[in-house]
Amino acid sequence: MKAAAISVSPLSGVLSVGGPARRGWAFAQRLLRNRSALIGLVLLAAVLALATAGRWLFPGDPWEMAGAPMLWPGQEADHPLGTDFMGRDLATGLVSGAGVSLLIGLVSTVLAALVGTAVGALGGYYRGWVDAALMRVTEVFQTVPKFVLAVVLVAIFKPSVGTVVLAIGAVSWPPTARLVRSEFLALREREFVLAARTLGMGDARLILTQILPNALPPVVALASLSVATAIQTEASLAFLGLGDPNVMSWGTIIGGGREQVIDAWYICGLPGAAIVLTVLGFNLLGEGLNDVLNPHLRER
Amino acid sequence: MKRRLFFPRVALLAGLLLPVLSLPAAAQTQTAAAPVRGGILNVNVAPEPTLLTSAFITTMNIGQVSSKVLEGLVSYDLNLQPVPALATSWQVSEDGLTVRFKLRENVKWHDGKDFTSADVEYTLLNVWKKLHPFGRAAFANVDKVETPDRHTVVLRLSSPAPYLLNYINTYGAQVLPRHIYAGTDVLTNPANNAPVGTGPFVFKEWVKGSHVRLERNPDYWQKGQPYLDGVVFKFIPDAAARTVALEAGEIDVALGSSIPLSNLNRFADKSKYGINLDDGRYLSTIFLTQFNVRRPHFNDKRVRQAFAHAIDRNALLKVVFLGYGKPATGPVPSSVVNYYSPETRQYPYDLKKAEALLDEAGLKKGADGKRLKITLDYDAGGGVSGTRQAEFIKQSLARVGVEVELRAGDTATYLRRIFTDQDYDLMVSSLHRLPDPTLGVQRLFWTRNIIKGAPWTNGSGYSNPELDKVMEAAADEANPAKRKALIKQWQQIVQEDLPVLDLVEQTWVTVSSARFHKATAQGDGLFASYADAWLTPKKK
Amino acid sequence: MRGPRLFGAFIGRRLLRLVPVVLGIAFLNFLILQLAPGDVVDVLAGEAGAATPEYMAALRAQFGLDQPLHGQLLHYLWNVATLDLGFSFRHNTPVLTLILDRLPATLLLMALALLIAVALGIALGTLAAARVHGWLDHLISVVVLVAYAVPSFWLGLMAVVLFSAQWGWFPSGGMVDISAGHAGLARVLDVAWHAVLPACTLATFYLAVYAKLTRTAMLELHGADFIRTARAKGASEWRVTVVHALRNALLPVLTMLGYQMASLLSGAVLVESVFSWPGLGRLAFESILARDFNLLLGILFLSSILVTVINTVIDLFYGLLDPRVSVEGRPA
Repeated sequence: MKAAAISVSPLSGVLSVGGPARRGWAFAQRLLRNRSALIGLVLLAAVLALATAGRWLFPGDPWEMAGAPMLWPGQEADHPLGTDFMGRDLATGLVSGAGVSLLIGLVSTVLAALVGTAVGALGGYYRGWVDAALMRVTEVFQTVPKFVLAVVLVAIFKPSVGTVVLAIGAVSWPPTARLVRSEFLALREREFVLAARTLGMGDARLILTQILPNALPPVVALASLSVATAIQTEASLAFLGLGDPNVMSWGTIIGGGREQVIDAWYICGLPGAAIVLTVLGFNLLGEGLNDVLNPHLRER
Repeated sequence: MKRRLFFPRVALLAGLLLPVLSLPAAAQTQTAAAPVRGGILNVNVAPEPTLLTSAFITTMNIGQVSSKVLEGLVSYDLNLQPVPALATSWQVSEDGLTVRFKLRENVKWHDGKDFTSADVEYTLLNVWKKLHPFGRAAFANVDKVETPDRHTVVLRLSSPAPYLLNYINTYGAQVLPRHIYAGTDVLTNPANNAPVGTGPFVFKEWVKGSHVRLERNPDYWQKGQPYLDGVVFKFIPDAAARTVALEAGEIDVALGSSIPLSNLNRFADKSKYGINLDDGRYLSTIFLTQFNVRRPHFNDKRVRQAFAHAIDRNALLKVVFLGYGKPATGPVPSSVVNYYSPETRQYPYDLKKAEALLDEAGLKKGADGKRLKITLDYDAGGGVSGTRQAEFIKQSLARVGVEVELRAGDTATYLRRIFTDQDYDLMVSSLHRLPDPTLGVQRLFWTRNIIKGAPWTNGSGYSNPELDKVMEAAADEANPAKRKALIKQWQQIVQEDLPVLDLVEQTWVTVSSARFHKATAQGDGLFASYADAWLTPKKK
Repeated sequence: MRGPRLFGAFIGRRLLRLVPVVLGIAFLNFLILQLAPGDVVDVLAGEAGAATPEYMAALRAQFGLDQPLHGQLLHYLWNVATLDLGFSFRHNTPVLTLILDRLPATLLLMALALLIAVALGIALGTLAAARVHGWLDHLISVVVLVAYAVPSFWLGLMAVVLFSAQWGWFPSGGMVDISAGHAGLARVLDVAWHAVLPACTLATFYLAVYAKLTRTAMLELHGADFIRTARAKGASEWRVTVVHALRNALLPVLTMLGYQMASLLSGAVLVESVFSWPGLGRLAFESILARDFNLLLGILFLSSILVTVINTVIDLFYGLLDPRVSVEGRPA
């Protein structure tokens, strides 16, 4: 995990002059100039196009048993990417699955980020027994095998989009918590915090308006990498038969095609390739964000 | 007093002749080749069993393994007629209240002790009657068990039990060694994991997660058998991997549809493989959709009949079961030849009729084209096939404006929701009907079997006093002609009221290498002892 | 390292940290299974084919499932404290026996996967750093990126299709060829042969992580003082790279290793499922589906001990590798 490689870097250290708009534009420029981020953004744009424009090209219901079963890609014009065991069109499945996988990945990551930030902020700011207790809780969640816990949560409650999002969020927050905690531990000693405190600013305002904005950049970079993991976890859950049965994600297609993998390996192959590209995109973007926001850790 | 006698010699002869007659037998039942002694048979069973005795549990995979070590009183041929195993002959009195079994002599348990009538008496009274889910019903009428000598068992019944002789093979009534189980807690006895039996193979080891190893029983009661040196059961959880393993020769036999139906075309070459469709006849499994008739919209018969018209059985058979099976016409499968009747009301695939019935019942189409929104529960713990079946039903019902939300649950959640909480609309499952309707079918429709908290009971909540009377009369009727008439009436009532949609009679497919042979074909081949099985040597 | 007494105190402190973690896991486990619909008796009855409510009630009494909640919780916590992992009712075997039977298989898989990942990862990372910005560096970077992105179960499936079904190089699953009945060296080789595909599949993701880490660390160290000193002393490029730079680059790798022990077991669930490897990951998955609470808790308990022990060992190694760093000094 990248947690160990990312360290403190207040926003003010990276972007020095100008108002918010100017700072934002400067940031975007630096990001686009970073090669990893650029390639990542291109890949993600492609996936997004798949999810949106693709839906326009292949609008049908992905569950509909529209054609003859087990057609190879290119075998029939109506089904350019072939059909699966039940005769469902793979192209339709892929584009509709894109939306599902992206949605689940993003929402669960936001959830994990919120929980992790809250835990890390409270522990890092208050220290003492609050920190000790929160750290123990974090350790418990980090020691339990993440995927096993997610399987437990989903298998036991009804497998649905909601439970999958909650389960992934519930197991992914520890790295964010640790990161935010180490940020807070360092930042709370800084001059601007001491100044604000002498001015009589309350704890909540201090945390939310002063420290948090400066602690966020590494969290954003980590979040991008977490989305990648969340998408993989969702696919793994769907593969094991624990996805929402009413919603078709890429993992669902792979799981459904598992028995045919010897003859019709494209049923597993195509959605798998789609997952690889999406995960790659988020990883590259995350690396790029990391480079831009943490300059002294650059590779060159 | 006329006595009905069953002649074991006739039964045996019939059993041997049957493969030669007009049955859809598979390649390996050719008795022309001579048995070859030697070799280890590798069998795949999925999923891995949790125990190795079937005396008190009906899980299929346990039966497939335990049947090689432990035996029952009979086995069943392709017409589901009994064939001697540990019992060599049997007689039922004219009034049906006495059943007399003559047991085989010179049979020893694997630890050297003799097999006697005391073992049968013990197992019947303490295991089958008390603990076995179906045995409890099958032997409920047994008042007394007499053992006049070491090789005779006499059952005294309080009222006739015509279904009894249909349920005494190693799957339904497995005989346990009294000297190991008496005085212990049967359910936690360590012999359940290391069985001692009378069968052709002796238990050697069970490496959990990997395999069970059995070796030839040198003192088996059939001289000259078993031909095989041993049997190894391998547990391969991934379905595609089983196909690869069979093709590579790592396994010789894959039982009980453990090879996914979609991969069966790879084994079409008869010179290399054999596909057996008869092994599971005994179970007579039917795939069904069940209504929760407590729900207001399902209380109306017309709605249930509309659903029947909306589901195309033939398409279901083709798309989901790949043609392996038959469309079902009612709760009693066609393989139960003694009691099956096709003269019941049928519901051919007719979307217009379905929609008309739904309109008539007051479920009109809303502005969005939807009449009704319901949930469908299925057991997702059973693998991909369960999902496909549920998806097919969902798609079918969508065509008549019924929106179905699928609810997957693992086995525990699924059972809890349906049988304890009774909180569901539709559910799907595959249920073994067994060779006797009283044992396998009555449980679905009997008012007294609506038991909250107990799984696989009457989950629909359907209660029809007239049907109850018919079923109870059939359970007690000793006269075969009268019983057949009662069961026909039973089927007609069910097909009219439709608390359950019986959709497809499933076939359990066994795929084997062409080197595998078995002398006699059995209707309960999944639970065959393999005493008469052999392997031709590998060609060098 | 400053003396055996400090060492002992350190170990003691670390083990003490294990206690709240294990208690937390037990509590979490208990909480979840109380909230779960259905229990192990439902599963047993469902598998049996039918059961009367009286029978199920009797089973529940026997398993202690009908006790009040706090009573059950205290009972479980006491068992955990006395290391009594309990009895699995579904398998009719003590939990400890079940786990110890399958533990070697999982450990073997994890160890092999780690070996491959670390060895190959460090090699690739070093190579990339040595030829930085060259075509080899770019190639390795691409390979590493893809390896990081591939879902392990998908990779496993494709590997089975290609290497097993199509080319027949490796067996499709399992740990040994049972019918062959090898012993001794032949058996070791047989197991190794069966382990190749699953270990490589499991290793792929971690390989990417270590390659990237090594490359970054090696590049950072290029201008470092002790490297310049070594070169000034006339050490060869090889010696500089392997002995000096690598030793220090290992530190972040070790850090990462500690964090990933827990995730290795997670990854094992999927790999063991695809390759029918008889290990703990699959057992954990099956125990969840069967509501086998005792078994699940036993596996989680064991994994937490494993993770903590390995993290402790790594902290010790840290002290050995970099004398500047004190034993407690590994960054959080």
